[in-house]
Amino acid sequence: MKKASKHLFLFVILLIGCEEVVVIDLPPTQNLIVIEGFLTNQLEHQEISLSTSTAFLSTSPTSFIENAIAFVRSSENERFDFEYVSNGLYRSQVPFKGKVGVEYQLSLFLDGGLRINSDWDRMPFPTIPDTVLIETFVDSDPENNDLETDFFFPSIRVRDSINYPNFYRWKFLKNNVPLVEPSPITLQSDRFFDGNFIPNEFDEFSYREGDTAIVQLQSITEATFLYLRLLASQITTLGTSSGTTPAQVIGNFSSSDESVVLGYFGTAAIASDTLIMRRQ
Amino acid sequence: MKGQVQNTKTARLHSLLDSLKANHSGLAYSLDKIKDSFVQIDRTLSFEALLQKLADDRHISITRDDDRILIRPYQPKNYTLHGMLKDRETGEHLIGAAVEITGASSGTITNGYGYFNLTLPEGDYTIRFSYLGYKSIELDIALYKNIYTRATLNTSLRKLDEIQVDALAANHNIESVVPSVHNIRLTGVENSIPYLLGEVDVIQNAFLHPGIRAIGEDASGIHVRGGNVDQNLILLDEAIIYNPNHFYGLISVFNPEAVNNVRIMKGYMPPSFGGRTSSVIEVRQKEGNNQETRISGGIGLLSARGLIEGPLKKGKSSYLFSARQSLLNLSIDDFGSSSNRRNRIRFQDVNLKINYKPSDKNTYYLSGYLGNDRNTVGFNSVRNWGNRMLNFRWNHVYTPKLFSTIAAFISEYNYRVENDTDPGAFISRSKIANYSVKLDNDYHLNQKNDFIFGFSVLAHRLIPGVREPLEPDDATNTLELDEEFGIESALYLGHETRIGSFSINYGLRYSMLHNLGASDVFQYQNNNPTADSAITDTLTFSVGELVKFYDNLEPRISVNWRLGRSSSVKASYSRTAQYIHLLSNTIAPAPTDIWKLSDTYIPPGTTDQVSLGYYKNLAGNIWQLSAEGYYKVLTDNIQYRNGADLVFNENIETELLYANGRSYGLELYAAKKKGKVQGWVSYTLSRAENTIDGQNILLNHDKTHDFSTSWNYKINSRLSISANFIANTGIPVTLPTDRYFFEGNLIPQFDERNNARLPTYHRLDLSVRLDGRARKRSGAARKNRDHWNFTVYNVYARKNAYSYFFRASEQNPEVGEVVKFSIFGTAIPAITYNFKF
Repeated sequence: MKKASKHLFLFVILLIGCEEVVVIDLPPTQNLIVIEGFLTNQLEHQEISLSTSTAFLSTSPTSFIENAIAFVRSSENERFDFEYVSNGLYRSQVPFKGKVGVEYQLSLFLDGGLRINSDWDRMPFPTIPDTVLIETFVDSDPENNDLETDFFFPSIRVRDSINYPNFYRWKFLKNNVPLVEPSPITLQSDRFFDGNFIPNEFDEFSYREGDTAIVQLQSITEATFLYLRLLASQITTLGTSSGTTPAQVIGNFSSSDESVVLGYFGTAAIASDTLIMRRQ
Repeated sequence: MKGQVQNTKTARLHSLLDSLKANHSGLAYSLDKIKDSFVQIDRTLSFEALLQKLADDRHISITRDDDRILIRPYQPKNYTLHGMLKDRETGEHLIGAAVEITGASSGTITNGYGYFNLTLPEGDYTIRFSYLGYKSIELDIALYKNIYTRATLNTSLRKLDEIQVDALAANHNIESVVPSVHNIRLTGVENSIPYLLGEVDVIQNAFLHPGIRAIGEDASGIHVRGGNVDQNLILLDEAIIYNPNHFYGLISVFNPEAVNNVRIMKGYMPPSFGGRTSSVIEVRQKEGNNQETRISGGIGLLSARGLIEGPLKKGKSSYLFSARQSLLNLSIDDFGSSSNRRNRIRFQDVNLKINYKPSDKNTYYLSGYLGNDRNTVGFNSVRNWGNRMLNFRWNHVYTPKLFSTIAAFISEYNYRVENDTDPGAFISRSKIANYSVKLDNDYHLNQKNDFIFGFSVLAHRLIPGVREPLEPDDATNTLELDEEFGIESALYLGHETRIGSFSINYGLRYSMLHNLGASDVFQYQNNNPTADSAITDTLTFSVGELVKFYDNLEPRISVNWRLGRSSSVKASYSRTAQYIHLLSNTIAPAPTDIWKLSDTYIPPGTTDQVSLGYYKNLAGNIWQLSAEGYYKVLTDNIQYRNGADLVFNENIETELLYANGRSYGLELYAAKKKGKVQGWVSYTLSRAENTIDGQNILLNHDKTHDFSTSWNYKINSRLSISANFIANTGIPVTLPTDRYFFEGNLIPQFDERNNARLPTYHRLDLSVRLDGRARKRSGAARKNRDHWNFTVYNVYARKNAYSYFFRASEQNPEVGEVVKFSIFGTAIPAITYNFKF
């Protein structure tokens, strides 16, 4: 009887809810400048990228800005020049790393005398995970719902520093490919955990046995956290009844002609670990 | 009578007066003004006694002026006929039933407790009682003193093949001075209207009427004439309900088994109502059968429900208990998934009501409601939310002219989130509660003048949020936002008068909010709460200390100009104020959104609304037509900064903005109320917008054209079919102009908000109702009744757009694509079984 009622219900609702790609008229494009870059605490060639936005449905490739003068200044009066590489990517001429407690600003000069500055962003103190474990759960196999299979996920404990607001961003790679589901941007603040061990169980980011997982913990500033939170809401919840209203995600750039500049330049103190997913 | 002396004789009044005056010079009268008639006189009576006898027999009136006795024509006195009108079988009060004097144009309507009063010159009358779906009755009343009467009506549904609708009852839309009202009763046709999964629902029914809508199929909340979801005063037996939805808006919290009557006032609110700026949705539970114990219920794919009612003391006291439980642990985001981690939801609710009527002057009611939704998210996160209500009321008839209701109630809405997975297993909870006392008086001066007056005091207690570890050693810290306290009070006076063909209902409501401590109020640079960093100081208020005071005068007036028995013009103006707000920055409200009192930085919202409507009935009130226009101006509508963080935010004022708005529209409505085919057609042309930075921006729920129609055809006494058709303009949507990439993720770039619309929405639903046999083989009526409903929702499987997603193309991730998402992409059949015995 239970089975029968289940089948009856599935008959009723199995076809509920559907997605369909549609072509609609969109408002005219704005062709805005987009800047992206995070200065890390790792000694390396730091990178930024410059491009312009294009019409949402355009099949044209992204337009890159190739001839900008770009440099990063620090509150200790250091200057780090960047040079163009390709595909909008600019790389610092020398390897350098951001120093904890020092503020950094990205400046750009573009054709026509346009000058763009980012806000200053202070390099946070890096937070190192206390323990990193691999845990498992059993769920239905996405390739065959009638079967069950093991899933692996990272369980990471972090010691949060007390009496100081900390903001974190987590990144996960699966076999060197970034995991973007369920969200490409995973954020955490210590508002509810100040000074505690934070036991994170990232069971949403599931791996299969044998996968290589790279887990990266980035300590970021509050401004970066707020920007990324708004950006994430525009990627992950649009279109649902519980979703946020679509909004412009304005970053931390100002331009000499007061035009809108998209993107963000900030600092991130990174701690990273690599795991091979096996039963422990 | 041979041998006996005859002491009485018949005389003409004029002659008698003349003969009396001959012996009593102080007698003064004018025969021109006194109607001559035959009178019986007793020869043995003295002069004084004889005059008194003539007065008692209503031939003359007597007044004395020193030594003179002035004789005037008899002046009839006014007396009041009052009482209760009930269902004969169940003892249920009949709300909004017509009480009229046959052969005259005067009458009245029973109030929310089935009470009525009519003040008339003394005399003999035939009073006609009538109500939709009931057989009318006529009572002969000799009104020579105040009379209390208990009238009962028999339902006509069992005995006739079609629903009988009385002429005067159907004329109520013309006669009533309050415009923009929809009354919904879940009997007859209303009980046959098909909804999703075959459920009968008062709110889903309301959406088929003009000016009342939801954003979409999977969206909680009711928008009335462009108002926000928190601007509806939703009352269950006069107690406030904060969240009227189960199951994310697919079904309301009002169990149809327990509902007697629903009244929705979309525009003008009589001054006895306040605290919300958009509408009043007044739901009254059944009283409970005071004659015999009955059980009713139903079962469908979505829920099972049952009700038991009966007398505690026959004719004096009754009880009602009903319960409803969702049957399937439904998934809200992925119906087809078998994953353990999908979102699932279930709900249940319980209604209880007891009434006791020890005398004709007193009735006591105790009613309660308890509802709960439970949403499982992923493995170990559980969210519970629900309304609770307990309400005591006392109806007292002080005099035949003064009807009074004292109500004391507690209303609560709370949610609780329990998460036993890391990071930091926690419990968070939030609650809003109000403890209220109301006094409502209805004074019936005469047939042309009624007054209402009273007061209400609502003590608000809000617990915006508490978050604490699930177990003492869990990682999360305890975070407790300051509780909020406020006293919202109001005094009101209203008068309804009839002058010729005009009826005028007007009044004034004076409302206040005392926001009280204990609380900490942050001070900001330039008194402008833009960001946490702008905080300059903190003011601390002790318990009970006044933090902020607001008050508003809320004038209301509505005029009905009757253009004969079958048409009228109604115009109204009302001002309403609201001191409590639901903070929600999502497209549709979530059950975990929090309520917030007006405070130092959050002003009350106000709405001014004018309306003008023409009402016309045709073919002996079989057809009811109306056209009504409205214009609303809303001030201090709460808006949100981009990315506003409303969860456990101690400085929530920094996330809020305020906008003025307006909405206007034209509502057309045509209903057929009698015959084998009944139903209605509704159309609304409207616009709702906010003004932000000088720009008018459409509200998320704006629909330019909104058409709906619902019809029922009763094929025979057992079989009927029903259909709904709905079509409306798609809701506003914000389309992107550009795309760009951030860390390889495609980001849509938006410019102007709500710069386009979703495609037109339309849908057809069909249902068939098959009733069990009404009579036994012997021909006797069966006491036990049942019926089946077969429903198909979205018959032609229209994939109506619920929203657009903007994402990277799966084929070419460098390119954006627009994805139309439909909640229901297919026809959905359902079956329900309902019974009563």
